[in-house]
Amino acid sequence: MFNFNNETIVTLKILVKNKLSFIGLIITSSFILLSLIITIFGYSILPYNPIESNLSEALLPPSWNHPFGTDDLGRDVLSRIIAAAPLDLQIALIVVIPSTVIGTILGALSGYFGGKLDEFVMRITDIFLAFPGLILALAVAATLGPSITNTMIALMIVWWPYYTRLARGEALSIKENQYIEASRAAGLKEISIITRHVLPNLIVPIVVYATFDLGRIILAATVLSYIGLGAQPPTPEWGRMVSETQGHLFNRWWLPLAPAATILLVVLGFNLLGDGLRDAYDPKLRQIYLAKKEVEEGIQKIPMKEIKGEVLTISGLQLIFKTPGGIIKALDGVNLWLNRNEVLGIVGESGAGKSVLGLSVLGLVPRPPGKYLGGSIKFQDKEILSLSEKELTNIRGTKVSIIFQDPSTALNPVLTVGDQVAEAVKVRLKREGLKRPSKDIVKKEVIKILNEVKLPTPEMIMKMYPHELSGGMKQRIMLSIALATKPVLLIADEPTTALDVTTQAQILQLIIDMMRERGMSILYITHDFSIIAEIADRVVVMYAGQVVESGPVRSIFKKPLHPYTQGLLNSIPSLSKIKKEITPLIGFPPSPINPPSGCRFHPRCPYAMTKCSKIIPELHEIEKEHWVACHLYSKEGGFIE
Amino acid sequence: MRKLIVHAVDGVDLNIVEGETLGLVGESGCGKSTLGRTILMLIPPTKGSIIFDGKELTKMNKEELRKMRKYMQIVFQDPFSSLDPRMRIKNQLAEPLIACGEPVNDAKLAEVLEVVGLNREHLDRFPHEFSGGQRQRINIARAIITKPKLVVLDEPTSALDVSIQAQVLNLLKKLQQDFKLTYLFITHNINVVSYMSDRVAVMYLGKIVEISDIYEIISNPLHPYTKILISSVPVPDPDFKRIREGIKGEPPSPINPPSGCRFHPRCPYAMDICKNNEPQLISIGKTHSVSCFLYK
Repeated sequence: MFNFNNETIVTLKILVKNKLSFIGLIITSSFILLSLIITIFGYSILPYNPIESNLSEALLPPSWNHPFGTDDLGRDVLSRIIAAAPLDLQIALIVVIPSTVIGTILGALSGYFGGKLDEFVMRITDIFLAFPGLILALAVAATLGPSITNTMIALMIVWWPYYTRLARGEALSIKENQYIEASRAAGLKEISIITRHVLPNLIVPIVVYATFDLGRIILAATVLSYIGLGAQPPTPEWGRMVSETQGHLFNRWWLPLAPAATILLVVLGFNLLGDGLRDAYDPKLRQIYLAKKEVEEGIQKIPMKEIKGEVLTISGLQLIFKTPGGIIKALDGVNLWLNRNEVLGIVGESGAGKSVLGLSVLGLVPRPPGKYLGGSIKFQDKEILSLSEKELTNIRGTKVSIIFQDPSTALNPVLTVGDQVAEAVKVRLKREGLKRPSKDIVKKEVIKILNEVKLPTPEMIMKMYPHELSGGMKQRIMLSIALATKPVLLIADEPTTALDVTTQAQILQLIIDMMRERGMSILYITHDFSIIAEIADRVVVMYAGQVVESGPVRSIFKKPLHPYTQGLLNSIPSLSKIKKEITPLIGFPPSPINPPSGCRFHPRCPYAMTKCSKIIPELHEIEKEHWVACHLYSKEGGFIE
Repeated sequence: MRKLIVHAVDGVDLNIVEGETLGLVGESGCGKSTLGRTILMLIPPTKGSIIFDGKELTKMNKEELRKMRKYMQIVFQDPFSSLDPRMRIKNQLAEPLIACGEPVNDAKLAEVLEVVGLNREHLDRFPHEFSGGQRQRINIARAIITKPKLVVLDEPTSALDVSIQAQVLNLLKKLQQDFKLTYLFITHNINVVSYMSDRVAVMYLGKIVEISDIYEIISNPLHPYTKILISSVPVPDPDFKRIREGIKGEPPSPINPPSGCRFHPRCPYAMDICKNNEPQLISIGKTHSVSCFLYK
C-alpha cells in the first residue's frame, strides 16, 4: 500500500543535505539515543548517581570531573541532565502517539464524510480549543495532583484536538482530488478509499506537525515541572532543575543555565527537524532532487537572421532560466519580424517558449532567474533588452499592450471594471498632454471604449466588479484596458483559451475588427492551429524554444515545409474533414533542460539525417516569404557551425 | 440560509447503442460532465431511471451497484489529480480488480499497460515520473482493466498537448475496436468529437437540444443553438468559408434558468411560444431528433 524503501532514502538524503535540518537530525537522534541508553541500563551507566545526595561535594564549580558543577545536594549536574532525558521523551511520546492516532482517524473521518459526524466532532474540538492549551493542562494537572502520570493525562486531553483539526483540513482537500472519484468509480468501498488513499496522503503533514509537537510537549512538560506540578524530587527533570537552582542565577550561573540550555537545544532540534521534514516532503523539491542531474551543455551559437520588421524585429534571441533542477533553455535563437497592420500568429505546444517570448517583448521576464544570453528585440528602433525599467514603463501599456489568458486573475477583484479601464485611459490622456483630466472626460472616454468592444450598457457595467461579469465580458474589459492607450502593438497570449467556443468566436471577431479600425499590429500567441487559421496573416511555428517555420498563413497550411508543422497539421481533427485519418507525431515534446542536440525535432522526425543531430538548422527562405529551418531544404555547403 | 438548487441535468432522455461512440457536446455549465457522472451513478439522480444492459441502476443498493461498476468505467480530464501521488502505478491499476473481487496478478497489470502503449517496468513507478500523456494512458488502462462494456470519457484529451492528443485519440479508437467498447465521449471540442463519434448529442443548460449522427449534425444542424455552435468552431483551414451565426447575450445561470425554452433569450428565431413552453425532443428523420418549436 505505502512502500517505504526508495522514498524514505530520498527523504533522508534531502534532510542531510540541508544544513539546518541535519543539525536537527543530530540533536534529536542523540537525545533519543541517550534516552534509550538510560532507560535500558539505568542510572548505573552514568558517572555519578543523579539521585543520591553527597553534601560534601555540594555547589562545586565546573571542572573536569563535573563539567557543569554540582548542585546544593552535591549531585553532578551533567549526570542529572542526562538522567532526565528519558522522562520528557516518554511524556512527549505518550502524549503524541495517542493524540496523533485518535486525532488523525477522527479528523479524517470527520472531514471525509462531513455532515452530522463532522458537525459533532468539530463542536467538541471547538470547546477544547477555546481554552489556551497550557492553562487547561495546568488546571487539569493541578486538579489531579502533581505527578508525572497526571502531567501526561493533562497534556493528552489538551493535545488531541489539534490533530483532529489538522487531519480534517487535509482530508477535506484530499477528497476533492479526482483520484478519489476514480477509486469510487472503480467500485471501491468508502472504507477502502480511506485506508488506501486518504490516510496515506494525510500522513506527511501529520508527521511534520508531530515532529514539531514533540518539541512543544517537551517544553510544556518542563513548564509544568518548573511550576512544581510534574516530576517530584528527587527525580531529575530539566524544568524542575531550573526552578530549584534559579536562586543561584547571579553567583553560580551554570547551575540554572545548564538545564535551561538543554531544554532550548532539544526543542530547537525538533523544530529544525520538523522544518527539514516539511521541506523534504514538498513534492516540487523532491522532484528536483529526483530529476536526473543534467549535464550543463554549452549553449550553442544560434545563427541570427536580421530581417527588419516595421514594428518589431527579434533576432537570435536566447533566454535561459537558472533553476535548482538545471538550466532551462526557454528561447534558443528566435528570429521573427512584425510589420504594421498585420497579425502574426505564434503557434507551438507547451514548452515551445511562445508565452515567454511575448513577455520578453515587454521586458516582463524577471531577471534573475531569467537571463538573456544573446540576441536583440527591436521595437520601433529601441532595443528592449537594454532599456531601463523607467523607459520600459513608458512603452508598456502605452505603445505596447498585452492581454492574457485568464481575465479573472488579470483584473483586480476589489476595483470596479470602470476604475480599471479609467486607469489606462488616464495614462493615454497624460501622454496627450492632459495631466489632470476631469472625471467627466475620463468617464466619457471609458464609455466610448466600452462601446467599441461591444459591451452592452456601458454605464451600468462600469460600476460592476469583475466577479459579477462572465468570462467573455471580462475578456472584453481586458481588451478595452489594452486598447485604451491606443497601442501600436498588441500582444495577445492565448486570450480565448479559457472561453467557450461561441464566446471565443465573438472575441476573435472583435480583435480582428479592432485591428482593422486602429491599424495596430498583433502578436497572437496560441497552441490552437484552428485559431491561427482564423486570425493570422503570417504564422511563426515554434518548437523547443526555436522558430522552425514561418510564412503567410495559407502557405503554412496548404504547403507546410517543416516535418513538425506537417506532422502537427496531420494530427489535428477538423469538422471540415470528418473522420479523416489523423496520424499522430511519435514521441514526446522535449525537456527544456536537456533538449536534443542539433535540430530539437530530430528524435521525432521521420526524415532525420545524421546531420540533424549535430547541427542546428538555419532559417532559409524557400519560397516567397516562406522560411523554414530544416536541413532537408538547406543550400549546398552553407552551414554555420 | 436558502438552499440553491442547480438544475444541472433536467429531463434528459438518452440512449446509447452498444458498440457506438456517442459524443456529448456543450459549453461550460451545460451539464455534460454531470450527466456523464450521473449515468454511472457517481452522482445519484434526483429523479428518473437509468437502465444499463437491461438493469435498472437507480433501484440497486450499494452492493449491487458496486458489482455493476465492473462493466461501466470512466476516464477523467485531469491527468494530474486523477492519480494518487503516493501510490505506485500497479496498485492504482489493481483497484478496479480488487473492487470487483477479481484476482490481481502482475501479468494482468503488465498486459493492460502494454495495451495502452506503456511497458511493464512502469508498474513500480510513481505518477510524478510520467508526463501528462502517459498518465492519461494509465487512466485509460485503469478504466479498461475489468473489460467493461461502457466507458465514459470526460474530456480525456483537453488537458494534453496537440501532438499527444492525437496519440491518445487513436489509442481510444483502437481499444474500442479491440475490446468492443461503447463510449460516451464528453467534450467541448467539436473538432475532436467529429473525429471520434458516430452520433452526437448537443446539450444546453441541462437539456439535450439535438441528437443526430455526426455527418447530419455538421452538415445540417437544425436547432438554432447547434447552428451557432457549429458555425463558431474555428477550423484549421484558412480557406474554410462559412457564414457565422451570431449569438446574443451572455451564458445563463443554471440556478435560475430562463422560462420556457432555455435558449429563447439568446435565440435569433425566438417566437412567443418559446417564452412560456418547453419544447420536447421530436424525431425528424431516422436518426435526427431536435427539441425546438421551429420544427413540428
